[in-house]
This record gives sequence, structure tokens and C-alpha cells, in this order.
Amino acid sequence: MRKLFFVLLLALPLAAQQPCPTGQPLPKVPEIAAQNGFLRGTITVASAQVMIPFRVPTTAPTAASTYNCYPQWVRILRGSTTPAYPATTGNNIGTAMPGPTLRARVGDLVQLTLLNQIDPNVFPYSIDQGEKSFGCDQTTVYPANAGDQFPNCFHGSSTVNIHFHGSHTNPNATGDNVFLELRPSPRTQDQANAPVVNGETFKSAFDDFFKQCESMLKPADPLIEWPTKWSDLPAAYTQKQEELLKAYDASGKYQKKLWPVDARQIAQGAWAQYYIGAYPYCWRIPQYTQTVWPPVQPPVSESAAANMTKVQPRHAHGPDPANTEGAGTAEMPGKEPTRLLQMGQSPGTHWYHAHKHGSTAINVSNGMTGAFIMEGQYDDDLNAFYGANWTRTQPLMVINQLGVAPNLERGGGGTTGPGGTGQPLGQDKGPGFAVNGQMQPVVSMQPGEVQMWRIVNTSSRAGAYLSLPTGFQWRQLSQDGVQFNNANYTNPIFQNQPLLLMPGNRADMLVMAPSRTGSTPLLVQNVVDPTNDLPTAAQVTMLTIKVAGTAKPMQFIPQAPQFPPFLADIKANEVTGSKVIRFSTSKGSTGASDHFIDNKQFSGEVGQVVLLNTVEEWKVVNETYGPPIAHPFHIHINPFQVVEVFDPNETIPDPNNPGKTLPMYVTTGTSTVAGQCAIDLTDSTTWKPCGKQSADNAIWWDVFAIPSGKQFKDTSGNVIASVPGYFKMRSRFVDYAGYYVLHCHILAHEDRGMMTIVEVAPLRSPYSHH
Amino acid sequence: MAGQDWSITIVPSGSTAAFQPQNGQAGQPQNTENSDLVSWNNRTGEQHQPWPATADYQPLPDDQITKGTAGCNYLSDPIEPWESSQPAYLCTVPTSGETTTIYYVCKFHPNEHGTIVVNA
Repeated sequence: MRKLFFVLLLALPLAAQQPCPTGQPLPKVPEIAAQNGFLRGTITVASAQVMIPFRVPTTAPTAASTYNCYPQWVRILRGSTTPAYPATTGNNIGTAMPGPTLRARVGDLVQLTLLNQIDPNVFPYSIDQGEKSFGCDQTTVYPANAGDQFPNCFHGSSTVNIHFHGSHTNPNATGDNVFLELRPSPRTQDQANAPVVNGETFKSAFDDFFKQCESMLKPADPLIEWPTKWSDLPAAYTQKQEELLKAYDASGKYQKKLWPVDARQIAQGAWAQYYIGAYPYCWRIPQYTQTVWPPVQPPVSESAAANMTKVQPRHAHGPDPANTEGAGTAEMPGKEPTRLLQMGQSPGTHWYHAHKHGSTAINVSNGMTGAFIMEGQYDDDLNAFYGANWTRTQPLMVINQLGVAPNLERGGGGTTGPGGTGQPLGQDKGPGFAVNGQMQPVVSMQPGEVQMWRIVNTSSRAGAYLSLPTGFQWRQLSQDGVQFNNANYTNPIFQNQPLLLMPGNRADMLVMAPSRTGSTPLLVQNVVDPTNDLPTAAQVTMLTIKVAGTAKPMQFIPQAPQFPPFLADIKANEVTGSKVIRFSTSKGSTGASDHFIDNKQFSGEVGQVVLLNTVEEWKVVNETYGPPIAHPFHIHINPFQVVEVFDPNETIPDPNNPGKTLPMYVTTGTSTVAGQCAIDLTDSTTWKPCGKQSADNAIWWDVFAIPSGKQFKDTSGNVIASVPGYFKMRSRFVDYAGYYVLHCHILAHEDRGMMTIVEVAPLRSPYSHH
Repeated sequence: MAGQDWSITIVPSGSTAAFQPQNGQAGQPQNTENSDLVSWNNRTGEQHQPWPATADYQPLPDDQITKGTAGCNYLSDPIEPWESSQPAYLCTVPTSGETTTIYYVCKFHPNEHGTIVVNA
């Protein structure tokens, strides 16, 4: 009898997994769209069961890989959208889908309510354990297997915030502030298990706040920052927050208290870090309205001049010191502008995602990402050519490597399989790429049609290397939400080429279907170190393009949309400062990889200081030698131009062996073939790219993979020299002072310490010789 | 396949409590695979602690409990009311690869029991 019972148990379905559906039409992600200059809505973070794809087998993807979908509890983003998302609450198992697409126009005011209704108890004890003194998430093997220590470990994945990735705005308060931590609402302790803080709790207070925010953040002066202090928030909100936080502290479960931290920060005039249940975001998307760059100070009326706030002149040399008089103070509401916007927001395809340190990898893998389309002249010009509202009808592809807890929490990680088995995974670069939550969906086109694909790689781990589909043509319109200028758009070297999107990268592509009908796969290779991975990474289908129906012959737009003047090249003579930033990975005491910036892990201290409204050139170095990892460098608030790249692992085709490659860089004294360069391993000044790289028409990015280093060895295998890879970038650190971060966009690396704080500081000289 | 996370809910059941597998009924096993993580969501007003047991649900003595490595049998610390468990339990199968059944009871309420099946 007992044996029969056991057999019956085994016969039960295995947790209701099923082959993931493929070949479904590409789903359209519901939107929150701005109206009349306001992006208003609610984004709710919740826990829900959705079908998450897992690769079969778990080893590196091959053309034969398949995917099983399992019902998994994940943290999801949903919103007040049109149309509404299908319900996925409770035990209703839904399909994976990104967070709502946000659509606004440069100049609009963002007014979003973030609700945190995650039920932390459906996950392993995941509420932030920093308060329980030991800090990190705990599994049977983690964190001991990694040697991770709080705060640089996986932890607190029910606590969230939002990073508006690609935004050029105020990094403080209710802007693009990634330091705040919004904890989940308390829940009723009954079988209803309902969140106590819901959409109605602070609606009235937030309505008042948003109204006041609108009156403060006038579109004519996007440099105004408000709110700046705790008392700027509605009393009904701050009082309730204090009550909720004190109740949390009084629960007796936590050794570290939250309200005292907030109270101290409030007393110091800083922005409070901890909130519970709900948070209001209010910030303006800055619109650059001048027709020239640098911006020109318009004539000021006498009455306006009388109202100006005169502050200390700055002594550093910014983009144009004459135009930045007064830099260093946030513009105050009600005053005439005293300084000019240097950079506007680039209209384009941006995105947003959870960015709480310690949980970005888990949250993003769960699907807490969404696109943020910021429209502007770019869209107007495309629509003038292709037809009214054309850009709004075009496919959006939010790609993500969906998953649950990281391998490291299962005893795996890197190239080792989970479960502590030591099973080699080979080239494991994370899960397969879902597109809008679906595996291998279908995009429909008509013969000859041109579509604009907005592609966002929101994955936490791997880059997506997309090959041009056979028979198709494509042209790149933008990179990382920053449009190409006409020289780049029309340059053949950017046309019909493979497209590499590292985690966080975006691209807008004009895609032209062939005149024939049929189905064609869009093939992808997942890579962490493109140079080293691509030769062996298998091509797998990311989606299928079905060309059918009547012919719809279209053309590529002949000229790129009008290029905003503030995106003019950063010339060498603009640069006023330089830095060297070093990323590195090495094996820790447990054998797991540890990740550093300038030999430090994230501590909450400032790692880099830049003066506001100055221009700097940074050499961003990768001292990772094995396994090779091209850490994707990301910095918030300001995009940058890449002006030089040195990849010591780069290869060239072997002229004598078709299909084979040779290293581009060889050591001095070695005979070379055309295209090879010699570097002197004893002279690091020779460790630079072959030939001169032009900085003209340099592309703007906000994520760029730093080429990994290479170790040169003698015939006995001894390391002679470790040659790091690097790139050089220039950026204008303009308009917004404050604290924000730079980090690796392999988000497990960020969570485990590969992040530092950038302080963009106003210059307030205590002395004047004028 | 491997790499999933599963949440077993501890639910009131008459005067006691029961272990309800994810998307299953109390009394059914939680089906898992090698290297899945399992946690328990305590939705009762009492403390519980899943504790490894023999096939006839007799709790194992403390000296037979192993912790901190893949393949160990320690399931969870005591779980407070309305909280979830820690550490998350890492399911593994023996190196020989056969399907394994983990029997457990509540350390504080030995009449409450459940099973986890770890498929190879």
C-alpha cells in the first residue's frame, strides 16, 4: 500500500511545467502614456506567479536547446495601463511580461506613484536582512560559498526603487534617485493577506504633492530641483511614513532600525532613505530649446535681473564659463534662471528598472524592467517621412534573461553548474532571451516594409549579439536612446552589420523586409565577453520574422532625424579633467569571483568627484584576465562619447588560413602580418590601439563593455605581462549636481560590490580675487 | 532541468497546520529538481520548523543533521508567524543521480508532515 502511494506521488505532474510556447505573435506591452505634458500613472511592484522559461538542457545554449516554462513566484512590475495587464495575482498563473512602457515627450513632467505590494513571504526570507545583523540572503550554501559580506551580497529583494536608465535629470529626492529604499507594504495577518498600503492610502496626499510639484518645476527652467527637503513632502505622507517606519522598527524582529536613519538624514538636510509602501516620483524631462550649442544667454529684462540670485562665479572651465555663471546651486522655484541647460534629454528609447543595491540582479531577472520611450523632434522627423504617428505603431522589443534566484545562491556561478555539483556548464551566459516575456515570438512584416524596432536589452547578465536576418537590410538610428547624427546614419560601416547589445544597451533599427514572403529567424548569440565568446557561442533563434501579405515597398529615411545641437562632439579642448577608473575581477578565498572598482567594493562612500558643468575624459580600464569578462560600464544621468578602444584580445582574419584568426596584438620582435601590431610588454605606453582612432562623430552611449585584459605568457606558461583592456570616454557632467552611481551592468557584479558613487559637486569657492 | 524556486505554504488545518506545496494540495509532495531552492511561507499564527524525518515521519535526532553544504539535510530555522523561512533549502540528488524523497515534520508539531521529491 505504501509503495503504491509512493508511485502515485511520483506520478503527479512535476509542478505543472510545460514547454514554453513559441511562435506566438510578439505581445504589445501595455503603456502608460503622457497626456497634455504629464506622464501620470501608478507603477505597482507585486509578487505573482508567472511562467518563467528555463533552458533544456541547462548547459550553454545550442540550436537544439528547448525551453520549459515553470510557474514561479516573481516580483513583477505592473501599472495603470491601457490596455490593462491580464491578472496575475494570487495563484492565478500569468505569462511573463515587462513592466508598462512609459511614453512621454521631452519637456513633460513625470508624476508616477510607485507602490510596493510584494509579499516577501512567497520567497525565501527576502526582506532586507541588514536589519537582522547578518545581512545577506541565506540558502543552504550562500553566502558562505561566495564569501560575500553585507552590503555586497544578494539581499533585500522585496525592497525596490526605480532607476530611469538614460534619463538626464535630477538624481536627487523624487528624481532618478537610486539610493532610496521602498519596503513592501505591511500585510494583514489573515488569510486575505492584503497589503495595508494600497493605491488609495496616499492618493490625496500625492495629488497635492504632484500639484505643487507642477507649480514648482516650470518647463521654462528644467534646472529647478524640487522637492529638496522632507518638509516639501505632504504632511499626510511624512507623518504616516514615520508611523509605518516606527512600527516596523518596533516589531522586535530587527536589530537595525530604519526610522533613526531617516531622522538623522532629515536633520542633516539630506533626503530620507527609507519608505514603506508608496513613493511619489516627480521630475521634469529637460528639453533643450536652443538652436545652437553652447547655449546662449538670452537678454534679461531689468525686472528679471533684479530677481536673479547672484552666486559665486565658478572658476573651473566648463563648456562655456560665460554661460554657466552661477553653476553650483540648484535653481530655486520662483526665481529667474541664472544658468542655462547645457544638455537636454535625448529623445529615444530608454528604460527603467529596479535598482536597489543587493537586489538588482534578482529583481531585473524576475522581470522588473520596462521601456521608457521619450519622444521629441526625432519622432517628428521620422513621422514626417513615414506618416503620422508611425513611430507609435512600431515594434518594441524588451529582451530579458528571465529567471529567479541567481546560480550563486544554488552553489553555482560563473562557468560552474548549480547545486554544488561542480557540473561544468561550458559557456554559460545565463538564460535565453525572452522578448516581451515570450520565447521566440513572431514579428509580422509585409514584403518590402520598413519597420522601426526599438530594442532594449534589459538582461541582468549577457549581451545579445544579433545577426542581420538573411535577406533583410537594417540601419541603425540610435544607440542607448541617443540618435545617430547623419554622418553615422549614412555611413556604410553601420549598415547591415551585426548588432551587439550588452546588458542595458538599446538600439533603434530601421528594418527592411525582403520582397519575398516567408519566415526568417533573427539569430542571437549570448555573450559576456564578445571578443572571446563569439567564436564559440551558438546562434539561436530570438524571434522569427514572418513576411507575408501584399507588398508594401518602403524606403529607408534618406537623412537621419535632425541632430540636437547639445549632442555636438565633445572636443579635446573642452576636456578639463581626466580620471582612470579600474574594473577588476579576481578569485576570492572561496574560489568565487569577486568584483572591484579601483580595488574597492561598494561602501556607500564617494569614489569619484567631478565638478558640475565640467567636461572630463576617463580611461575606463578592465584588469580582468580570466575568465574574460567585458564588464559593461554604466554611469547614470549623463551619456558619454567613446573616443578610443583598446582590446588586447582582438583578432584579425588570418590571411594564410581562411576561416582562422590571428591575434591583432603581438609582442615586439614577433613577425607580423598586415593588420597586426606589436606591443612592448615591458613598456605599458605601447599598450594602446593599432593606429589612430578618430573622435569625430563618436557615438553616445550609457553602457559600454570594457574589453577584458590579456595575459601574455612564455613558452612555459608563466605570465610575462598582464595587459588590461580599456576604453576612453568623454562626458559633460552638466546641469544636475548630486550623488549617483557608476557600476558594472552585469547586475550580480553590481550587487556584489562593483559599484561606486559619483559626486557631481558645485564649485563654491571660499575666496574671490575679483 | 534545475534552477527553480518553490514556496511551500504552511496553512491552518483544523487545530493544526499543514504543508501545502506550490500550486498543490496539502498532503501532496513538493516536486522539485536538482538545485532548486525551497522555502516555507508560514501563514499561521504559530512558529513552525520543517525538520528532516525518516520515511515514517520520525524526526531525525540532532546528531544526524548536517548543515551548510549541498546535500545537507537541514531544512530551515524556526519560522516565525507570517514570515518565510531561512536559509532557503537547496535541493540536491545524490551523485548517483536517482530521484530522492525528503521527508520532514514540524519540529514543534510532529504530527504535521510533508515531503519534497527531488527529481534527477
